[in-house]
Amino acid sequence: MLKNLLSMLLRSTGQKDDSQKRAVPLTSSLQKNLNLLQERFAPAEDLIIRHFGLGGDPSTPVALVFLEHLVDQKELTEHVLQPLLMWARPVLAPERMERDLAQRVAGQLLPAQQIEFAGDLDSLLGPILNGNCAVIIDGSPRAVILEFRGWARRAVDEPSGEITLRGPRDGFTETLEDNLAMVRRRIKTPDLAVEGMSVGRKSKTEVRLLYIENLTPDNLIEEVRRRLEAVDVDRVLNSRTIQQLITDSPYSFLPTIKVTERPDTTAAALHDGRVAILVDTDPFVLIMPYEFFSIWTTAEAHNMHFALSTTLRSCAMLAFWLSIYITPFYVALTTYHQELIPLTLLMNIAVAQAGVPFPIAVTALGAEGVLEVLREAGARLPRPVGQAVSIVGALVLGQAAIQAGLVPPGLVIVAASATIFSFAVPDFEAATSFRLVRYPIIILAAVLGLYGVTWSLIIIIFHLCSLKSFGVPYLAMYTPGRVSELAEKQLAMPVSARRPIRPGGGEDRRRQGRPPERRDPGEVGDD
Amino acid sequence: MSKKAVCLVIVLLSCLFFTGCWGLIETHEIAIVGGMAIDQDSEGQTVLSAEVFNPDALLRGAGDTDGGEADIVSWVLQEEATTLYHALRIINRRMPREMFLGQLSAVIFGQDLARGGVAPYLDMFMRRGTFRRSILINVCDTGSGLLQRPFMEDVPTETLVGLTYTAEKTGRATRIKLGEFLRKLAEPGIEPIAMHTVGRDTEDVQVMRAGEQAEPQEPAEMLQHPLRSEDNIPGMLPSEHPVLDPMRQGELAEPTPGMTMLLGLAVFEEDRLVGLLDGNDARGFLWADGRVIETTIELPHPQHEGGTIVLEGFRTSSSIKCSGESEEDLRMKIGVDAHLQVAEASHPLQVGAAPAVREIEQLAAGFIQGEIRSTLHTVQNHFQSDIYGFGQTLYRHNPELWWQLADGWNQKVFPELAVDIEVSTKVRASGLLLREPGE
Repeated sequence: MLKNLLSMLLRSTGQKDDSQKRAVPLTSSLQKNLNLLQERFAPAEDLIIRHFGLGGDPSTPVALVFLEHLVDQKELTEHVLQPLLMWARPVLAPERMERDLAQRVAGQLLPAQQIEFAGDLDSLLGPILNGNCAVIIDGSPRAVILEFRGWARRAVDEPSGEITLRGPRDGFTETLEDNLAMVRRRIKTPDLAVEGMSVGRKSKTEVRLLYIENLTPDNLIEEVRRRLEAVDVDRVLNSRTIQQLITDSPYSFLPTIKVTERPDTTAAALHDGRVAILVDTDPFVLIMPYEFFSIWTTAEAHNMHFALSTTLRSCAMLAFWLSIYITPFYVALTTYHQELIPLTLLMNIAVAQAGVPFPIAVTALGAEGVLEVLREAGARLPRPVGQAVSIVGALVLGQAAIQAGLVPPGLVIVAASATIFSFAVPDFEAATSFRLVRYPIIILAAVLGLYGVTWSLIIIIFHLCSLKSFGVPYLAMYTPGRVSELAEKQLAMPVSARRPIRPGGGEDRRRQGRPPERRDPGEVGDD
Repeated sequence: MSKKAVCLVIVLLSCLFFTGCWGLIETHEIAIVGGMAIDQDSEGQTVLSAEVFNPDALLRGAGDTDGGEADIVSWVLQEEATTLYHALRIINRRMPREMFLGQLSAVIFGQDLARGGVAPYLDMFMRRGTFRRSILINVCDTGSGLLQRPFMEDVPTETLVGLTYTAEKTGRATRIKLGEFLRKLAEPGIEPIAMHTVGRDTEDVQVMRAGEQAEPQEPAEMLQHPLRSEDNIPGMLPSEHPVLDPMRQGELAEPTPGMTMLLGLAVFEEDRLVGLLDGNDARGFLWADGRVIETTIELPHPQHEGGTIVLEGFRTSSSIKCSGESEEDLRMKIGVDAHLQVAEASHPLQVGAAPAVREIEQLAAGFIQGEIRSTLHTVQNHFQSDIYGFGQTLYRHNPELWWQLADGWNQKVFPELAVDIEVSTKVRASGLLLREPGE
């Protein structure tokens, strides 16, 4: 696999990368090995090489190599230094010399959970950079890699982006292991597959590919794996990079990969037969494939009464479309189709517009633009100041603009509601990027009226039809044969009336969650 | 690919320069026309009156004048020309804003003009896409005196539109819209109807606020004189009712002149007005047409000599069926199904027992049948216009026979048509009274 990756990298870039081209084997000489190591490292003050003799005996020199701030030093002292220095004598007994020393040291002296052996420089470097420590023994061509990782990590916290009223409060952190643990705790089946991989030529970011075997279609897993392996960039510092590189349509305003901070959402997606990608140092998990309806489904949906969540979901769907179309509709109706506006409203609009010096289209674009800036200003500033900006912007500026006759009040309501609608869409990423579409649509509405608005809708629908997420059509749910699935998904039915929906059509599509027969406790006692 | 994309973007962006070409017009640049009246003068010229709203004053409300001059809430502009469209253009020449006809809610034809045929005037409404199909079609006795004095509403058109709703609720007329009129005009075997309005003096008394005087105005005067909100004086109770308004002194004013009344229906044969059905005559047709939404009928009291009961009809439906295979034995059957409830009784009324209810039902059925028969008689003998759509029923029943008879249907066949009327009534409720008081 690694070979494939390497050859692909070389082929695609066409340049030689010495560090990756050929493996440099370790030798039996400790000093040579250390020289190799130090040559490869740029000046690194935090690279610690501790020399000592095995069992205190200088005839068998040993070096402990690790990066200072990535290892748990207390554990290291207790479980590596102590045994190697104090209890190594039996290992050195001559009758046991026939086996490889490194093997014996690892097998008898080092009480670490994970032990690996590195035979060449690369497989030594990787673990060290990942926070493992290496024990290199003179006379052995293999280094022992021990995991005693420990660094400053953030506590598990509630994800600020996806807040629920009722539901688990834990969110992913920047530590891959913790994130993995949170998912594992929710899916207690040996079928949960966790594939490891590292991406990024320089950054070598650890990535985990998660799916449930026998539930997720093989071709889906294969496709995700293939795209992930093809990722060829210097650095992968966040999941967004991977998302952009493996997504089906990087230029689309709509995401074809779901991003979540919530382990419960991730677990639910895995159960649905989707694939999740966890990226080290990033609390955002990528889930694929992604379908259109997911834009207005929240993690909270199944934590509420189904009628309520159905209503909220419908509201979110409506909000999604209105956030794009309410302003263009206003512009089109007031400039071309006055007959479609109720008389009293039309008179209201006319009176308000009479004092405004600009055409409606210009004020609409202006108001939307100002709101966009306000939203950004409020989001970027520190929280207390941000609130002040919102209040000054929304209340003072809006009111003043109306009184100064720069913007008709109706338009302020429309533009503000468009922005608020876009906030109501649960998938923040989809809402924020797709919101930009409304600017060209406003221009279309101003130029062509409802005809232009209709065209924009046609173009959007064409685009939606053309989108695919890892082989699953974006609008798959909306095809005639799958109406029942769509209804279940859109309506957020109670568990007992729901079937698991698997995008790739994995097995086990039976209706689940049939509630047990309800019995009166008194009746039970009579049995 | 990228070249194509660039071209597309350039084409789209260049569209921005042509916004004016698509009839873009801002809301404050239009003059909203609410109603139109079309009439003919003695020389055969078309006289068009158009009511144009003043949104600014209308929104502020008629009464609120801020102590200053009363605002004009609408203007009635009148012009003569050979054609309707030309008249519109001449009117528009006098206005700084473009006339906007998309919100037009009522059109009134003068009676004289309607007798000569309305098709030439309807052409514009069909040909141009701006007009709604829900424009109310009226025929007014006093010609284009359509735009009568407003009452309760701020402007005459609103008054007229409101009146159509109340007329519908009393079973005296139904809302006839442009779409229906045009459809019936175009379809063979059915003739169109319109609403019949009239401007007349009423006996009602306007009660004035102390210190204000109502100025009686002739309907004709209204057309030249722009309407002001001060013309529309809010009614107040006189001081004889001190409980309600002890602070005000009231005085009685003159009877109201020029009030718009909705009397009933106007019967057309093709595009020519041939007769008017007013009051109960109109209801006689509406029963048969299944369009009585709400109405009241007065019947002799079944249990008390000389007494009266009032029944309220609240849901009617009708069907027209056809039988017979030749002109001689052709028969039509109007079936009417009416749901009624007791609304009022002059003397105690026992409705507990089934026979009593049946008696009321039979009385009501007889009454309704009488009304339908009477109207049918008038329409068949005097108007000779198949507004019931018997011709269509025949076409559905026996197309060949229809094609034989189609020519001259209204004059030859329709007046002689044998029509059975079958009314079934159901008294559903007797109100909240279970027992008569004092029993």
